[in-house]
Amino acid sequence: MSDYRDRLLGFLNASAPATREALYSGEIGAAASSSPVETAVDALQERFRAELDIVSGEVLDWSGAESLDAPFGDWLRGVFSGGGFTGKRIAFDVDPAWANLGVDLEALVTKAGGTPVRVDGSSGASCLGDVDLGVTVADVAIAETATIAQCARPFRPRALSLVPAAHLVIIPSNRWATGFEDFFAGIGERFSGDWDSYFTWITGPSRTADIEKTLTVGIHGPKQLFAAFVAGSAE
Amino acid sequence: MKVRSQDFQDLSKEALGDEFVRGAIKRANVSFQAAREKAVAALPDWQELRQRGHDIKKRALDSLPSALEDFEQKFTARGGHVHFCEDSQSARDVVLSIIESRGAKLVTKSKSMVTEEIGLNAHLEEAGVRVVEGDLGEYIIQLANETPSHIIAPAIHKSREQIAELLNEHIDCPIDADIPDMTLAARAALRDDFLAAEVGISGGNFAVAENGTIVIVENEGNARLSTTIPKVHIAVIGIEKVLPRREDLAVMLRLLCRGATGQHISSYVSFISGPRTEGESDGPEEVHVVFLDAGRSKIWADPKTRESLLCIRCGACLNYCPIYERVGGHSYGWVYPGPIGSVVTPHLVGIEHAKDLPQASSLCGRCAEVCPVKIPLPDMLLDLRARNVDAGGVPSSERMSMKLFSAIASRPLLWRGGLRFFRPLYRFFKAIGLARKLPGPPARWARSRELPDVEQPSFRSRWKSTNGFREKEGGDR
Repeated sequence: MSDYRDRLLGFLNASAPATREALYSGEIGAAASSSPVETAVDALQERFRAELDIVSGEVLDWSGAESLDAPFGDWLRGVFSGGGFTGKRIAFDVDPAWANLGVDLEALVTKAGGTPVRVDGSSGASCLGDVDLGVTVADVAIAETATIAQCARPFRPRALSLVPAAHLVIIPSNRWATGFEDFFAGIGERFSGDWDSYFTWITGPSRTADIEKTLTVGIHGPKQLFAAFVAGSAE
Repeated sequence: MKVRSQDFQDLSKEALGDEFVRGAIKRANVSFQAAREKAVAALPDWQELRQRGHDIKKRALDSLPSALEDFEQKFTARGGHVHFCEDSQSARDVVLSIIESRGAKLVTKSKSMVTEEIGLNAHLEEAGVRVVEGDLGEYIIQLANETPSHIIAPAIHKSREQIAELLNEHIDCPIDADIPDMTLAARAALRDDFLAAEVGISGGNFAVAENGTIVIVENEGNARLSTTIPKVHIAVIGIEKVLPRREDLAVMLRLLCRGATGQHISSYVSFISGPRTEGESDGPEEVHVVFLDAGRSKIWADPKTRESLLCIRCGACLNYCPIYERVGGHSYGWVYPGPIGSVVTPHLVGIEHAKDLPQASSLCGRCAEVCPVKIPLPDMLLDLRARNVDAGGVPSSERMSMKLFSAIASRPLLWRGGLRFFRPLYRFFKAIGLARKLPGPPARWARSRELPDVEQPSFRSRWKSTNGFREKEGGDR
């Protein structure tokens, strides 16, 4: 194998029209009109809401509330009483952001009548199989396309936003990016976390149109995606 | 995967007789086009974005060896493994040896054209490994024991009734299930396999050189499951998929998603640069990137064909191609259908095995107009036609006829004299349908064409009598 590596690279190097320097020399990014330029949080939230609506996700605007407890608890009770999240199993991670946002999820879920499922760096995906809702904090919210970005974190299983039937993501006020260019520029400096080994973008619920091009929501990932705007900061 | 591109004529004839397939593809194309056009219209700088995308990919290809080396260096520094494979056989062997080294018997897979190209599933199954396709369309055609007919909609040729029948036969799904119920049944049936799989296999849409990152774009979540739950992740990627920098993804992702499905962004994009980090409870412990050459370096080495490697496999050229719309993906006889298939297949499998594909085009140019990275597909098809002639791929009778035509048409006196003599004869032949009754090459040519009418009076005499159409028609042409 390594034999072929050397042969291939030798062959390519012998006739490559450009150098390594040229590889990294081009202009970065698209023209300004592709990427939103608004920076005020309410303008970003507005764009995010419009884009999430296109992909059948739902925005919960809790940014007016002083603490997360009241709107989150009320919302959860409302869903339960409407017959949603039938198993009432609500999973969440041990993100330090929860403390910064002033919320005790274990108590909140219990008080609302649900069963809390706490997951951390030792939890496997199998414990999420019968979970109705996974709750996470966005590492970055990209307004351009209503995209949630999450990187590798020891306190958050990657499967938490993937295996449960629904996903609720909390977007703190200090974690907004305007568009793709702003996101990529920020992961080197502005946004904390390990962006070098792994990250994912999530935009709306899982979907497919593989049968007769008929759009159906909820194939392998969550069938519902809720994004909650909150006023607090994650740090 | 077995190459049947040499049977294009027979396969397309068969497809033309299948009214359901023709209708399904037509409906799909209308829907793909509407979604793409809406998404593109929302971006005022779409044309500039296409040029940027073209430039980014071209820059990566122009420095391909540096891009591959940088990717390898970054990816292995974080604990990943990189393999370079000369051909399909060596890629299949590498993948199987990784699976066997873990003693794995169950593999989940996300949609990947390159693994279709190397015939991976059959190879693994022969070795006793159970392979489960996770993408719904791929899962359907796996159950039907068929091959994909579209780059991003593999089961577009099957009706909901056919799919319900298949699912009913293999999993817990009622025969009269509607589409959402079929989707739920597939979700339930595949969930246990996703959670139990020991190895996950994917393709890769991009491989970023500067960061050593592979990027996987999808809507269903099956690629995320296959790259999150199993302990081992293997990504099989063509060497041409490299990009220079992570920042370049801002342009490329906009182009890919709009070109493919008309989405502003797909539901999930995974950026994977190595195994799980310390303290993480999931994500693979071992990640392998298998770079496949299989003829790509040869395409790359020829400046006339290199631009075909710009392709980001969005499928837009298929959705606008009048030929693909009529004959469907299976007629192309291999993995890559439509205009891009007609360009890359002859190069990857040899023009002698796919000589009809470059002819499967009206050269209308829509494919080049919609290609998000501006691949000059019609020019490449013409180049392939010329190569086919050079390689002796057309009968000597056809070559002689074209030479004769060229000799006459380039000599005005001979041309005019010939026309004067043959015009009445031609009209007579056409009236009695003689061309279709002739044996040999003329009959083969005329079988699928209408002989053109002869202008009466001729264009030349009209031009002369009207002084360039000025006097009688009064036009200012």
